[in-house]
Amino acid sequence: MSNHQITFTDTSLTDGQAAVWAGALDNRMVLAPAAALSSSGLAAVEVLSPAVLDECLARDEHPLQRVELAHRHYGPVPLRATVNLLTGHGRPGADVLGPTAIDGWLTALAAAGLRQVVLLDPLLDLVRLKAALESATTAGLTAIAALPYTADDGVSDETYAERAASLIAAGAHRVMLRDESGVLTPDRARTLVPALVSALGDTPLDLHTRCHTALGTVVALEAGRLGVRGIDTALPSVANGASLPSLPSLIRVLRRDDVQGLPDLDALLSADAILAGIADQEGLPAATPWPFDLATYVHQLPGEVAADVRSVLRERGRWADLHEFAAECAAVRREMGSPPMVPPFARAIAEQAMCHFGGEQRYETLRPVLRRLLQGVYGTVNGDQRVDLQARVGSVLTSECDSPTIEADLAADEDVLLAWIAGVTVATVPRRVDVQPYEALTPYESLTRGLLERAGRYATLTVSAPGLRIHLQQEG
Amino acid sequence: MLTNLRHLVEAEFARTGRRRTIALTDGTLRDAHQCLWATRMRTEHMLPISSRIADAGFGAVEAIAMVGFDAGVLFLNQDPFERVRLLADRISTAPLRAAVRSNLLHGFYPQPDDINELFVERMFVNGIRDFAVLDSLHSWDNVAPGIRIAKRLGAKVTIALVFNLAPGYDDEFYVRQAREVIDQFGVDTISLADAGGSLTVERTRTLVPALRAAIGETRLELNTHCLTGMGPQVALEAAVYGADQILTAVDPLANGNSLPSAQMMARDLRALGFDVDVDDRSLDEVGDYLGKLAAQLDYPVGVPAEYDPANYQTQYAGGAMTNLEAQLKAAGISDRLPAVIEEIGRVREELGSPVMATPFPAIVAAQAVMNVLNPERYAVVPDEVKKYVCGYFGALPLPVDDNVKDLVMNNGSCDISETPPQLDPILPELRRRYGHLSPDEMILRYMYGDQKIDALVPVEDTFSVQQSIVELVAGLGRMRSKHTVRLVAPGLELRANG
Repeated sequence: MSNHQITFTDTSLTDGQAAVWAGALDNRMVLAPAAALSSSGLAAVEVLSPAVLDECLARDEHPLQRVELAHRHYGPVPLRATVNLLTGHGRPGADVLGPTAIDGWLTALAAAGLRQVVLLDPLLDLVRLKAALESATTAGLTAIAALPYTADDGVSDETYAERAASLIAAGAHRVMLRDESGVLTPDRARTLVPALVSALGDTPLDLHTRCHTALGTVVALEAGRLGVRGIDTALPSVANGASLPSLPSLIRVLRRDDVQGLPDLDALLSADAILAGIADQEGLPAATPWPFDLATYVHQLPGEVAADVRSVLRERGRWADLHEFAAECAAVRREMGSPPMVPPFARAIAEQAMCHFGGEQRYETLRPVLRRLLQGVYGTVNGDQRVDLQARVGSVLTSECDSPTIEADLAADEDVLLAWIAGVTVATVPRRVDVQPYEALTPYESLTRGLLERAGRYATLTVSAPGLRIHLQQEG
Repeated sequence: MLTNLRHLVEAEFARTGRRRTIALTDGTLRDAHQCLWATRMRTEHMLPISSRIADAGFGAVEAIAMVGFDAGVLFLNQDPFERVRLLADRISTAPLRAAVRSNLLHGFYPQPDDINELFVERMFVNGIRDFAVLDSLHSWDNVAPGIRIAKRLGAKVTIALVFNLAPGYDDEFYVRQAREVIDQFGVDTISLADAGGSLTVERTRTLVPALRAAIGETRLELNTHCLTGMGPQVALEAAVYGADQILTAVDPLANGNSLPSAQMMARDLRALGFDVDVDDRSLDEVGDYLGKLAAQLDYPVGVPAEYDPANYQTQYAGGAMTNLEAQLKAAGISDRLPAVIEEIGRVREELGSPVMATPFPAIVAAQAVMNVLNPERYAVVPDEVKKYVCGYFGALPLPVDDNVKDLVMNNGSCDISETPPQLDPILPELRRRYGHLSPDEMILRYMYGDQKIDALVPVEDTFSVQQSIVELVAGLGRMRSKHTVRLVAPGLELRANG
């Protein structure tokens, strides 16, 4: 183990819960593990991501309030968000979040209490990124630039190193090798990480990897040994599988290697016990590792999308055809010019492939995000796109905002800004409400509460179990 | 990853002009439930699905191991020979395999050659056509008599080389062992047996090619387990680097402590460019059945393990550790546990790094405790340690440290002869006692005693994973008139009026 200090960022509240609990962690639940998590010696806790933004709005929760609440409850531990410059919601002009929108959003996030931001431009458009990184810096945020990783596509270590160097030149304080599909292997890490570390010089290299292939933990350990300074992790209740490596598991291994300065394992386990309690009470699925599988290297689907596809194939009784689906996924990706398998492209590619896999004639219909990708709305992809599909959809000119009015409103009105970022109407932007930390109930309390809530439906209600008898009877 | 492995497979194809077929050996009915269900799958649980397993295209199907004999008789009251017979009746498309634990037919001391030979003969008569023989010391004299019988009967012989993560067990050690068994017995298959799942991808990339190069046309099998979550990758890499066949289990009895999944292995091997002649739909049917069986019995399915490199350290095995802790606590010296653990590592290496499989963990630990408690190491030598050093369990794979050997000989009990006693034939006595019984029953009574064998219950092939309540409701649904329904069964009366 090299002698540099490795730090850890918890992503349980964003990617972990998105991958394992399908995004069920609401604003009350965010606060529940705050005391334990904030005292555990983490480098940061991630509280917001593009997926969480959508999940909050779907629950009628205010995304900025999530950050504000976390800021009040999480004490000194820095809060982080991941912001994707490209969106999938299809609002004209907002497919690419332009400088005004990004500047406003980062300023709002900083005001809410955020300290770090991971800025992801899947197409690595350095002009866009530079503006965003400058906005982040101006807002007082640590600006982390994401460097998306894809496997088996012929991109050399040298090219990744050049890209990393260009991210520093664009103003990144840190660079994050972002492997949302969990396809980085220990073998590749052994050449790629040293190349990146060398290119970055004093700028720290972070790693975000996943556990789709069961190698996430190995990769994280190897990357740490090779010079990665910051590693994204999750608590065990929402780790592994499509999620990130479990931090307690990493700590146990690193302790055996006499690595010093690690987060407090007991505090992390206390925080995890709270998440486990929530899962138990809410009936959320348990996190389980996935077995190693080569199909992942073919489809390269990121976290939640891979989890969804897995469920769909099993439900349709077609799990045995996983490689067939993976091959179609890879074909669609190739025909779209091989964009990185991150939002907003990955889910659209998976959905398109699933249509073909399900028997629909290839490209009989076209997913909206892919249509816009072919139209060049998101910018330029590295690979060649299918010419006939490009001809079919035509090209459109893009601009950041449709009118000066919107641009002015974005800067002036938080609701307009949020609606623009999230692709919703201003009228549907939720209000801030009073939020109390999630209250854990005993099974008996939960049962009684459930019965009382339903009492109006029954004249009498009796529950009997060994050692337990509950009898409710309506009066009158 | 995928590209690299494919390139290796394509390069081999270009070099040899031959696309390799990788065979899968099925361990579902033996290794998988040994790992996940403490070997508690009953014979009647196996019968409804055995014809599907037969159809699935496996190269061989494991039926039983000695642990299956023990669990079958001691806990399930079932005759293991009967299991073999019933499976052989249903599985004729692939050789039925039995794993044979050295000459340790009963307990953990070597048994006389005649009973071992008869055992192999009777297993063959009952339907075994592939004997997978292992000896934890790699002491092939222990197993030579049984192997010769198997060869004479025309059965296949697979030799399991037990993977041991320990000093001296380098690639050359395994190459030496493989050559020795091929020269000595002309075996059909060499199986690299990684019971603890401690074979890494890196080691696979050197060890498998070394074995492949050393064994000529003899088939090479990889048997690994998924305790670190790395088993599937290790198995795939083993195929790429020269293994001909992989021991797998049908998911959901794969992964966890068990074997890599047959379904996933088949898909992934094909994706790499190999041919794999298994029927995926048959595997899925077997998997569905096993899922229902697990649910009905309330037994666990295999859950993939999280990566934990502790498994790669040559540490004391979990079960043995629990015993050791209890023993030290009982002796009031539980505070010496860390020192004992450290001493176990030293003693193990000094004694030639035996595979930490029963009975060797206990023997090494006994010496380690004595070394910690006494002022001088090896001042007190337990009897079993002297027996081990003197070769009572077989010739040792690696030499014992010379100084330690002297101390053991000098300080060990004088009552223990330095030359292991001759094991006299036992069959004459057994035939006198049990001559009126079948040879199978005679063997079982010798192994487990009369009381246990008297309690055996014949298998009834009536088991079903279909839930009776589900069948009942489905049956009611099929009735044309539901105006009056009356069902009577022992302890149950159901009436319904429409």
